[in-house]
Amino acid sequence: MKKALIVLLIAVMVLSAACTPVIQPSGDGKEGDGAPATAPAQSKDGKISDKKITLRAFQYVLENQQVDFDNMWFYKELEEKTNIHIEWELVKDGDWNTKLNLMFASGEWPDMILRGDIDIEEYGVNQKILVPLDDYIEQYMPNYHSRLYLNDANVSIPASDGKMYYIGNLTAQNINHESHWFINKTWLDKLNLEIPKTVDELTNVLRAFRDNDMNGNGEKDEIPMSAGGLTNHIQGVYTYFSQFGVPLQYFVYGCIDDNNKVVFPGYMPGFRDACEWLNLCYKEGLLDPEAITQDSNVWGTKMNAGRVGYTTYLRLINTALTPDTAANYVSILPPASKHGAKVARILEVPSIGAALTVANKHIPETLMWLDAQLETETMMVSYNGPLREGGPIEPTMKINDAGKYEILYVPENNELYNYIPVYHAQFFAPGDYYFKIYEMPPHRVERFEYSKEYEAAGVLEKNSYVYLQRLVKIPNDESIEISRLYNEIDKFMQESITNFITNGVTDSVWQEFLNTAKAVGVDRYIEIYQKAYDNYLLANK
Amino acid sequence: MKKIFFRSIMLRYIVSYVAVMAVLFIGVGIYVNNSYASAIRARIVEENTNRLSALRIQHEEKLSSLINIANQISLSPYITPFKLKENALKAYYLKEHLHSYNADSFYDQLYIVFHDDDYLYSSNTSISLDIYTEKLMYYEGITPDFLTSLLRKNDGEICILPSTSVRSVLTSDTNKNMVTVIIPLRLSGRYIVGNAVFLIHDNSYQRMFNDEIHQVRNMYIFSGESLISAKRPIDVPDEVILKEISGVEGSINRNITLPDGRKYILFAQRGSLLDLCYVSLIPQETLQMQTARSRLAFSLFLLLLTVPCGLLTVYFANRHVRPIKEIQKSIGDEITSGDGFSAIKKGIETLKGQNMALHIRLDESKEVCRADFVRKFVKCRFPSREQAVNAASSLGMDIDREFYCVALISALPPEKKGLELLHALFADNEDVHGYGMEILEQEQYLFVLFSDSEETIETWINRAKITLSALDNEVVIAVSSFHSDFSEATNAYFEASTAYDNRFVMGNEHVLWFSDVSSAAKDIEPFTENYLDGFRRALYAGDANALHDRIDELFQILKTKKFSLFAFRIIYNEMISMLLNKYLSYDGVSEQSTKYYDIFELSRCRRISDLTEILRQLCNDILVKEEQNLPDEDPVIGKVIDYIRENYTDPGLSMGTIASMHGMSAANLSLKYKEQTGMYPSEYLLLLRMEKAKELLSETDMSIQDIGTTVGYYDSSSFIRRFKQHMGVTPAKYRTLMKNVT
Repeated sequence: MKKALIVLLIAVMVLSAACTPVIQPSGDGKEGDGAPATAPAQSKDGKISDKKITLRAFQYVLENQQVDFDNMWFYKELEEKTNIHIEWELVKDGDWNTKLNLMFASGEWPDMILRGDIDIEEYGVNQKILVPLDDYIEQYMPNYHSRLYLNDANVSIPASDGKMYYIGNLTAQNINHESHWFINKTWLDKLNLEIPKTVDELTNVLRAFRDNDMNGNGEKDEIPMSAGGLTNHIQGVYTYFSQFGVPLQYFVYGCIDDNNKVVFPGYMPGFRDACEWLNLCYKEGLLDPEAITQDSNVWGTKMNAGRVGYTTYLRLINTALTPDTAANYVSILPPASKHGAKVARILEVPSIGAALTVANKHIPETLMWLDAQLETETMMVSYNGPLREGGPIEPTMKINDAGKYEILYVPENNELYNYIPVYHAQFFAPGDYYFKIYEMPPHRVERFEYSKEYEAAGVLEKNSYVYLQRLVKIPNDESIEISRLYNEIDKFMQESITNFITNGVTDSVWQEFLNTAKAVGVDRYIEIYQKAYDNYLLANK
Repeated sequence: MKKIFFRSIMLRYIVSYVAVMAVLFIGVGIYVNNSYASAIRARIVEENTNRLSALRIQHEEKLSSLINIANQISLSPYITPFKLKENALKAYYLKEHLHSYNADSFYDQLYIVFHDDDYLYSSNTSISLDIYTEKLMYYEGITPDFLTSLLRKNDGEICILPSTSVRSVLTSDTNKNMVTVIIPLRLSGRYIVGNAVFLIHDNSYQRMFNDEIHQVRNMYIFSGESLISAKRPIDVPDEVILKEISGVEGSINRNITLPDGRKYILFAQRGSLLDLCYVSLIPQETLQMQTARSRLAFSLFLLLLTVPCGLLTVYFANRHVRPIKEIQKSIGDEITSGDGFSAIKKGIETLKGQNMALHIRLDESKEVCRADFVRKFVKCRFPSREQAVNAASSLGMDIDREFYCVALISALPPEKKGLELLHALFADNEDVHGYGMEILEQEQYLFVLFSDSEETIETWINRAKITLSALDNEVVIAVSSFHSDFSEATNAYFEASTAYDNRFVMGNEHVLWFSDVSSAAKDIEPFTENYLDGFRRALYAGDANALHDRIDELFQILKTKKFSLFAFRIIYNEMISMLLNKYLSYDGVSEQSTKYYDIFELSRCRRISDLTEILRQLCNDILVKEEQNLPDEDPVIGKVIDYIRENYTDPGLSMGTIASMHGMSAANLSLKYKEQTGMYPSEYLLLLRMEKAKELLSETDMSIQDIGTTVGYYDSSSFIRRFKQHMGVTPAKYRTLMKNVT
């Protein structure tokens, strides 16, 4: 009987095997639980995987760039090389924070998050959605690992728990600030005016720009002073506060003064004057009424339409500005108020290149894919364009006699973004490494020169806010508090400044501002940063 | 070939299996052929209709969510129309407010435009209409002016623009197809103040078109005459589709044929919003392919099914065949001779025959067992009644009755079938159960009869006696007393045996009941010795008449009394030895005469007459010899004998008187007399007196006292004492006995 049963069972099994579709195991079954994964078998031709792997990437995209990652030459080449296919979710700068937080909250996490800023403390240390990468880097990212410790580039990366939750992105440029001041020299010349050195002179120049049909089209469409949004740290309204000794930026609402004291920018002496001056400009039609609301694209459109007299921006060469437009402008030192000018200083510390989520089932492959982009030639190509013939455009680089990568030309109108990720690329080049392999191109030299100029003029703050943003270590619980306070303060500052600009600053409104600042916890916010900064100084004495 | 083919049972199985499967296959095939096409078409229609419904529901949900967003924005306090140039703060707040709608991933961009203002607003930026239409948004095939007019649309209708390539720095991907939906904003839900403009990635539509059903399928969403979005792996002109769906209400499916002959099935559903029509199109080949595939799959399934079924068939066939082979082997048949089934048939027939023989033997052996049981029963080999009953019931014997007895029946010659008759008698009477055996050496049947009543047994025995006597009138049936206790079975047997042996003395005309035998024996035993005494005296006296009288007397007694065999043997032994002693003392007597002493000769005596005949014969022989030897006798003794015979009634006659009369001493006379006649003269005198008394007792009514006086006693008490000593019974008793006999 038993035998008969066995035979029957076999028969049933054969039948069921014949009648049900064969289910292939999906993936390699390895959970992205943070434990070191087994090394993937790298195929002989250098491909990361024999079988095509598809990864989902949540990619930060600059506001003012047209990008099509799906059809980008660079990534197609990379896919060919690595056998890894990426499904891109592109998120514009303006939507980044909202969409990033929504993404984390939704639970549908991509395999990796690329280039945008992430609250590492919250999503790494606290929620543990990000994968700590310390155990993987040496094994799977030899290129990155070989540069990570140059120029102390690694120092800012570990979170408060000491783990590295992201792959850094660093382009050492020997620069010390980001936003730069430009004035329409053509218009100045037309009006036979000098370059303004003070706020008052500037105000007059702006009035002249307003009143004199500078573009000669018969329309009153000139914008004497423009800005690409309120907070934008390159060309936003915030940059103009530097003219009043307030190095305001939206990353951290705290500045470190010369005495190593962390100060809330709203409490700085020039802050109210800056708001009043901006209100004056707004009221007088000197400031673009859209300055607060428009993004860099609209700003860029207006710039390229030749309607703008005065603005802040990154540089002139190789930007969103057409060469014709750029030719009209000259770099100036920020016109200073009685409070003196003080521009936010930056430190060249890595930003976030890539972070992996625990949803990633191919951690080694992902890291190998990232590291493949950090291989020197690939990395240089990803930022500057093709080195060799056969690319989508004529080679934009060559290797010069000194053995360094040298830029041959920069295509106009940000055409490079059609083929290579440029700013969106994975890039890790600390100074000691970068200057050995790279011949600085004009647009790099331009910013380098500005940096020297500003440093020499003494318009830079002494201690960069980047200490607070990236280098100080805040314990996890305080980090959560800081995060909450930041959201409140950011909203409060944006609303207050917008209100001041559009409606003016009366004493009562000002008092209300001070009261509200207290109420939203500015003092506590500064206190936490002060403590963290003090600790940092102590540790780095 | 045929021979080989049909020789193996296995092959037969397989052939049968293949035949069944073939019939099944053809039957199912025909059925499938007839019904599958329509079933599959119905399934495909259902599948596609469902898919289309899903698409419609999904899309309308998305559109509804867009309308909801527009309504929410309309109702928001931030959305009172303003002019940016006059109120940048409101623009800032509007922009911030729009952030909260970024959560919906269906659309890529959302812009708000107020009819009284020149700007559009998104969560990221404000843009003047002219920059938007002329510098930042490039709709393929749509002029900036037309785009402006669309954005300025003020008719309160929702407008949906077909998927168009839009090149813009504002969208997350550039050069992507976008569907644009423009929904009016109504202040407080009433006054149209502007429009909400949604830019939806065509990818979102393509995601809706994607599905798990792996069929080549075109999917379309039309709004009126314009195609909003489509997935078109099949190259079919949109106009054809448009023509087909014009006027469609509800849900349809129909076959269409293109001018080039290609055939398709078209499904269409009319939506509830914006005159939307959802269409899907599949080639008829899909249907045919599916039908074919299903047929193929079904055939494969059947084929696959045949494998395990085949294996099972082989397995079970093997299971059947192996024992069959073993049976064949064990039957000793030639396995190759004929096919297996014939062999089995043959084998089974053989077995059947053997089985029958076996049964017969078993039945016989049952009889043997029963006989064995009877033997054991009679020998009291069962420790308890219960065991005996159980042993009996296992043999189909019912012995658990109140009474039982043992019957011994003389065996009849085989041709008379006495046993069968007896069994038939048992079968006739349910109240009596009899089980027997044949005791060959005794030429007897032994039966133990069980019943709940003695009368039934008696009745049965009498019937048996009558029945058997009809066959053979010499049949003997001897029966023990009735017993209840099984431990008395041996006794019962002895009782029956005793009764049986008594046939000699009791004759065989009646059933020999042990109870009769025993009661008679008790009466007769004391009589035995006296009788022998008389016989001896007659013999020695050479009185032929007296001898013959004695023999007749014995015949009478035996005939009328139920002598015990023991008593009879004593008499018989004594008489024979007496006779032979006498007889053998004569010269020239052959040893052959001893045959009368042979027990077998005796056992051959079936009737008393046989026995008395033998006795008479022997007596005659002796008397003849006696007469030849007479010269040797002393004449004095003869005179004494005569004297005694003449004067025995005289009470005063004594040995002294007689001796003195013949000139001898009394002692000398006695010795001489004893030497010549074998007894003392006093004994002879007593014998004569007793014989006379017996005669008088049985033949006259004289009183005991008178008889005593008559035969030579002074008083009756001496007579009675003497009589009792001689006969074992008192004269009165003797008279009663003799009367009963007559």
